[in-house]
Formats: sequence, structure tokens, C-alpha cells
Amino acid sequence: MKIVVHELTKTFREKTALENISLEVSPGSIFGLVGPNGAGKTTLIKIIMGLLLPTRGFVSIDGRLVHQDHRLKARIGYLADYQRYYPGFKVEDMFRLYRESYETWSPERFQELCRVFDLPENAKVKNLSKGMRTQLAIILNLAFRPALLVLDEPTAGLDPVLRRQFLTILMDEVAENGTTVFISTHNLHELERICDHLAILHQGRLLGLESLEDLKQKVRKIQAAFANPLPAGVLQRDGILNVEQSGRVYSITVQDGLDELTAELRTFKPLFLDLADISLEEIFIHRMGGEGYAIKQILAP
Amino acid sequence: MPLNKYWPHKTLLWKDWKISWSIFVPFFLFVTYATTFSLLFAITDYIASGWPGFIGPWPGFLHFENRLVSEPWVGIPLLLFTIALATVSLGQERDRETLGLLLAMPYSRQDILFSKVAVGLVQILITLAANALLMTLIVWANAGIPFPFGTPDIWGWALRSFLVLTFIFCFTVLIATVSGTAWGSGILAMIFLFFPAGLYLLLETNFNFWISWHYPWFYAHSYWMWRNIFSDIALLATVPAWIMDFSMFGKYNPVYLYGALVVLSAGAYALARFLFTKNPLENNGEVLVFERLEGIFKLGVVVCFALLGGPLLTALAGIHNPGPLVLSLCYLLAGCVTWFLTNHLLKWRRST
Repeated sequence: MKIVVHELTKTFREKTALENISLEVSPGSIFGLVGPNGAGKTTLIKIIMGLLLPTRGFVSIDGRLVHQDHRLKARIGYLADYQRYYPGFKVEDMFRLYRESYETWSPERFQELCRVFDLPENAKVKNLSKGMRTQLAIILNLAFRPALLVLDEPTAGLDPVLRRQFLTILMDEVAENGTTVFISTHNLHELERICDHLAILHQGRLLGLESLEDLKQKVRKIQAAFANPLPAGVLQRDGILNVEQSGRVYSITVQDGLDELTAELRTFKPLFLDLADISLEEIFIHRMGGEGYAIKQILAP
Repeated sequence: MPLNKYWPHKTLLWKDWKISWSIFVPFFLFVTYATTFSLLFAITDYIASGWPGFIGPWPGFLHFENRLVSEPWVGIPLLLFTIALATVSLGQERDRETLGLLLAMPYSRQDILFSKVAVGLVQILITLAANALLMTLIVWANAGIPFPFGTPDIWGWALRSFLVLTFIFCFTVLIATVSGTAWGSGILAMIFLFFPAGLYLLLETNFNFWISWHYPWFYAHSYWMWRNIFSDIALLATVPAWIMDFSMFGKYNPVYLYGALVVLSAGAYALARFLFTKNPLENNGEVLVFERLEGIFKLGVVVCFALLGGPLLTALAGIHNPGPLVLSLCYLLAGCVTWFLTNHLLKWRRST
């Protein structure tokens, strides 16, 4: 399913939660949304799900407006930031509610998921921990084999083993069924493993929107050592995001002009010069950390 | 035309039945206690007192409503339970934020509301019909006792009560579609359900003050004629009073009255359905829906409290016959205080 967010603005009285957001999510891709608390991630997700109406602009899924089309929701799985269930319901009641609500509910898939996430069917949902509630939501929303999964902080409360299992399941879902995934998280490490595209939201505005592959190709790190210090001015040029120096060793993060810079550095006869991979976390720290953005909030431990 | 246009979705019915169970059970038990058990107690007492000439304790079970006049502990809870049934079904979904879960599922807003109303009305129907059936069996089983009513009266009571409670239920659902929490909806429904009688009493009390300074009016025939007309209108418009005060049916044809009630119930449901579909309550994360009506609501509250404050403040000050100046000052004071409090309350509510 293709998601189109077009010039979207959402205000709550005087507060602007989202400002002029435009993005597209291709069918069968995994799209990551990162941003600190209060950036507007949940608001954007609720608008995509048709739970909130935009003040301006629109969101369409496969060319249809979801808030006007409840049949479209039959193909969309949604994990909210906090799982709310009917307190008097047991886990088995929730299974029944979803099983009877979604025509595409797959008993086989349900059994597979139940083997991964072992939940007590007789337990009341109000007695479940946050992690167990999330596991229940994962089972409920994956068992009907959705064409689109909208996930708001889906791994919150999961232990590292379950978190890894969930991400694997998610990637299998995309590979086997071509499911489109729109995922919001604090955790860049997770997104690095699974995402095709990434958007950064900060104070309601979109700061960046790129393919992960392009981003990693574009931003590289040069590690080099020189017998003598480099002359001043060599590393003061556009495209250099960060320079760290430890003795005679330089660590230079470059966004644009990698080839030119490498060629120039070679003229200073480096003792060694290597191109190193850079993590998503480092890219974001260098690209935005210096601009006063709350980058530390994006980086989960 | 798809069948679900006329029939609620069975999964939603099951879900709504399950979440309203906690109110339905006490509602059922209460009505059973107030009707079937009361009848059984009366029969036991009758037999224990050696089969006297008449069976009590009611002035006559012929009109169940008559009993409620003298025993408000029956009528008021019946009303409160019905309001609770309606508010729990919709308001509680908002309070617990499960409405978001439901709206993310493949159901339209009409489906959601339809199921809630259907479950509520079925619960009221089951309660009244089961008790009517039990009472019928009890009456048949005790043929020797001179009951002051017959089987048709019992079923007539069940039907009348169903129609009145249906209106109260639909009206409360209507309020719940435009209000925030379950408590808020319940309180607003109570206010608006009793608004006609309350406003009439408020106006009459204040009017009496003003005309008492021109006492010849007080004895004028036209004054009493209009007073009776307005009093009847206020009483008829206060539907909960229908199960507490049966006297009005001596004057008006019950067929027309109950016919009007059926139309009003259907209208309340249709309006609730329209508003629930159109209003952006959940969509905008707001507590009150129609922001543009806020001023009108505030003005209404201020006027009502000014009218209440006038007589209340003079009574508290021990002034039995306040002049126009004193009364006007009391209106002004009560109105200003209410305006100030309402504004601050709304500001506080929004900030939290």
C-alpha cells in the first residue's frame, strides 16, 4: 500500500503539532520515523490512521482517505504508542474481537505468532504488563496479515530477545507478503537494521527524508594519520560534518565532496588513509547534533 | 442494500454486551427487586395477615408509576441506571481510550453507535419483559388474591416504562456524542433531561417575586391560566417525570404522548448518529465538540445561576420580601460569580 502525506499541518488550538509535512511511502517498503518526544510522531501516525483530522493537507493510502473509508482499515494493522484494551476482557476475548473483525485473519499465522509470544489466554488484559500488552497487540495486528502496518514505538516494553524476534518477524512479513511498514521509534539502532527510508521529525517539522542506502553512501568517515599536522583551512570546507583529532590521527565525517577531499588529503602523504563505515547514530549526531536539535532524545540506549 | 444497514455487527454487539455487563446486572437486579420481589413480598404479607380484603402496600399496582410518586428511591435509580447504561457504552470508551482502538478497526462510526444503542435497548427490554413475565406468572399462580390490577396492566407498565427509558437512553447517547467523559455525559444528560421542569420552576419562583410587588396580578385569572399551561408544558417536556408523576395522563391522551415519545427517541438517535459521524471530538482531541457553541452554553449557565442566585441569596440574607433593587443586585452578583467561575473552570480544564 502506498502512503502519501501531502502538505500536512495539524494544530491543536494555538499549538502547531505538525507543519507542512510531505512524504511518500512506497508499497512494500519499511519507512522509519524518528524524532524526540513531542516531535509530532504520534500525531502524524494518528492522522495516517484516520484517528485525527488534519488542519490542512491530507493523507491518502492507495489514493483513498482513510478516515472516510473504514473498509480500508481492514487491511491496516496499527500498534498504538500505548496499548489500550477493554479492562474486563481476557486475552482470548481480544483474540475473538480481532478474529471476527478481520476477514483476512489467518489461524496459521496466529498460531505461529502465539508460539513466539507466549501469552496466557485466560489472563485479563488489565493484568498484563506493558511488554505483554505490546506482544498481544503484535499478535492481533499481524495475524490478519495486513497490507500496511503502522507502528508507533512498537518495541517499547519488549525485552531485547523479543525485540529482536519482533523485528525479524516484521522483515519476514515484508519479504513474504509485501507488507508496507510505517514505523515510529526513538531507537535508531532498530531502524538501521530494517528501514529502507527514514524521516526525522523535530518540533512538528520534517528535518530530513532519505533512503537509508543513499544516506550511508553519502555520509562516510575518513580515518587518516599524518606525519605533520594538516595546514589550517584544509578541513574547513562545505560538506565536512565533523572533524575529530587525536594526536596525528584525524577522523573526518564527510557528507559531500568525498572524492575531492580524499584526493587532497593524499597530497599530504598520509601514513594511512581509510574509508570507514559510519553508523546511523553517528550520521545523525554529526548532521544535527551541532544544530541544537535534541538528538540525544532520538538515540535510545 | 447491505444487511448491516439494518442489523448491528454481531462482533460489536458481543463486545458492547460484554462491556456494559457491569451496569446491566445491577440495573436488572434493581428493577427485579422493585417490581417482582415487591410483589412477592406483598403476597407473603397478605397471606401472613390472614387474607384481608385488599393487598398492599401500594395505593394500587394498577399504575406502577403511581408507586414511584411516593417512592422516589425507585424512580430516581431507574433513571440513573438508564443514563449509566448509555454513558458507559460511549463515554467509557473515550475515558479508557478504547474508542481509538475501535476506530482503527474496520468499523464505521455508524456501526459503532448502532451496536451500542441496540445493546442498551435490548438490555432495557430484557429487564422489563422478564419482570413483566415473572409478575404475570406470579399473578396467575395466585388467582385467589384480589389484585387491584391484571395481566394487561403489568404489560402496559412494561411497555410504558420501555418507551420512557428508551427516550432517556437515546437522549443520553445524543448528549454523549457531543460531550467528553462518561461522568460529563451523565451529568449533562441529567441537567438537560430535567431542564424544562427546572427552568420552569426557576422562572416561576422569580416571576412570583416580581408580581408580588403588583399584587392584583397575583389574583388575576389569566395569570393562573398561563401558569397552568406553562406548568403542564414543563412537566410534559420533562420525560423522566413520566415515570414519577402519573397525574398528567388524566389530562392528556397517553397514546399521543407515548407516540410523541417514540418519534422523539428516534429523532434523538438519528441526531446522535449524525453528530457522532460528523463531529470531530476524537479527531481533534477536544473535550467539548462545538467550540462555537461554547459562548451560548456559558451564557445559559450564567442566566440560570443568576436566576437561582437571586432568590437564594435573598433567602440566605434573611430578606423575605426583597425589593426590585436588592433582587437585581443579587442577580448581578450571582451572574458575575458564575461567569468568573465558568471561565476559570474551562481554562483549568484545558490546561490539564
